[in-house]
Amino acid sequence: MRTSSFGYLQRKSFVHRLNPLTKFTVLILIVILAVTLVSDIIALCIFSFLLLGFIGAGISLRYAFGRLRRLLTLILLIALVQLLFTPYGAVLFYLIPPLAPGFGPFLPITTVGISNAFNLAFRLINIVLASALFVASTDPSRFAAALTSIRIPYRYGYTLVLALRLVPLFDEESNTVQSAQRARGIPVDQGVIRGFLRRIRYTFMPMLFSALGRVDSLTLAMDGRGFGYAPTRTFLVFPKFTPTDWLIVIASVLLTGFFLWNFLFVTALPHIIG
Amino acid sequence: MNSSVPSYYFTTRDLVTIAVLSALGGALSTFVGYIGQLFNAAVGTPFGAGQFLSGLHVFWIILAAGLIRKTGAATATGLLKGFVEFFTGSTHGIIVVLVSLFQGLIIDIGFYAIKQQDSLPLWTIIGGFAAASNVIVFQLFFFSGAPLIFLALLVILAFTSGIIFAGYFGHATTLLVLESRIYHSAATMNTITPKSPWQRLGPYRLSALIFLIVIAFGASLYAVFVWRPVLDPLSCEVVGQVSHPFRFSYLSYSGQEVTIEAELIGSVTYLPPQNYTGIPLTVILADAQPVTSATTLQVISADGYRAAFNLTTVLSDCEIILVIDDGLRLVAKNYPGWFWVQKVVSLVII
Repeated sequence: MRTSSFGYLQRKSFVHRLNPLTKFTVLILIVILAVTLVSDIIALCIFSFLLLGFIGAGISLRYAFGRLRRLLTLILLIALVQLLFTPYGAVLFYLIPPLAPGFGPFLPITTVGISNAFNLAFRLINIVLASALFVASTDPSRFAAALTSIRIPYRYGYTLVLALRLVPLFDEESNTVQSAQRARGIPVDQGVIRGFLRRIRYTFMPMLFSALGRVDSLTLAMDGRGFGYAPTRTFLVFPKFTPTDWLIVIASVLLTGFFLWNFLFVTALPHIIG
Repeated sequence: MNSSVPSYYFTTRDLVTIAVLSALGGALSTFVGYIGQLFNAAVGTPFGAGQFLSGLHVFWIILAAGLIRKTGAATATGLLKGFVEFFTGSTHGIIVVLVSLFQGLIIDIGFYAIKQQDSLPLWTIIGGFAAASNVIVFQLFFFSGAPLIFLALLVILAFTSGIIFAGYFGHATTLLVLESRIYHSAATMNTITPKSPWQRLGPYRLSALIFLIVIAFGASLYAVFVWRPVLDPLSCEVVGQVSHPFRFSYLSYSGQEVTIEAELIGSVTYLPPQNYTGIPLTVILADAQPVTSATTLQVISADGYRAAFNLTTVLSDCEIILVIDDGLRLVAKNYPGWFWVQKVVSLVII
């Protein structure tokens, strides 16, 4: 059975030791850069930085791309649409040659189409990888403690952490539900569109009911451990904001500021395609 | 030592419910967002075509509000769901947190206004408003320069999606969950209701009917108010506050072409620096003779898209030109991508 590709992976790396708030700040800045800047070189720089991040965190690239597996199909489709329907730039060739005099050619593949498809695909890949790196390298308990350190009531901070912890559980559960449906003879993975609709139809309700069925047991477990017994709580491990954290946050903010300033006022972003 | 256990507005059970629905909704919304992005890429309108799915994002929030029945539950679910979407790789980045938060806020306001009533029509309206709000929030952050009528159509599309996927489907699912008794809630819903003609129509037919009506209504509005037929693709009208309104024809100005190098940087499209040859707007506007009180130039395309320029700036800028590219296309050097209007049919001086 397939296991979830979303969740915390315990390692003893430099990235893991960083304060979760530092990683959260860097994540937000990376996503802002990925969404705002349209430059293939910058997209590749962010991509390389994230791959280094995964290596630095001791997390295999197989995990990183495993996280992408499901979204990659959609990302490739989005890029393909951009490639096929961008009519600007120099035409390299036509996908459909002239079929008759005055009829065709159709679907030009242009330099700008390739550039746009590349930029959009890498923008989305970078967003997914950045999120995956944060989640994989951040212990949910440390994240909850870090949120408490910035005066977010621990009950609410823990709710966020609980939601993030539940995502991989539900991911695995959806596999279980689909396996159960297959065992009953329902072809949930046959056909692209029909299979997709069948998956929704036969997975959605069982998933929802199974998820809501967990509410009582989770509540009981939390109440049993005294969750909410006092307005404040203590943590076994409380992440400190070290000079390294400060250095990384300041460097990230300055770097992002520089790139955004360059984008907004200089607009001379480097490109390798087109 | 204080032995009394503090009482909270949201119980542990409420918080767990919020977390469960946010986790499920956030993870699935990320996929829905990618599918929406696919439609946007195909149609070429950012935050546009994918709006027909926007109700699916709100479904989870309305479900949480329906099960918990406390003011603030929807806002909390919206906020948390936004964070889960962000962490699972939403295409919109951190903005998705604000979008989702705003949707939750609208549902809370709506539920507060109707006093948490179990009313299908009211739920559908609340779901519609919550789903439509994302169009406005996205426009605040990624201003696309699209005409108001186009934005209104997107709002209508999102509203319809909210009615069906958030309101109708959310109400039916809440009812189903409460009936199943798998989730013990203080909320009760009227499960046995007489079949009205409205209900006899059936959910699928009703949804299809609403969708068809909205699409037909939207198409009619678009055809009447937005779309302008292209009579001669290489000509456009120059009208408004001018002494000499006329129809500009590119071919009759072909001797006055200039070549400029420009780079298009849009929110979606990027065109690297390249040479464009065309007629400067300064030449065309000089022939139209704008009156002294005129302040704005609106460049309007066949599909109703329009970009507004400061007239004084345009009159002294020789690097805004009309070029031949699948009709007339405005190339505006030093302006962001949304000023580069395609298929220009009108230059209106206001």
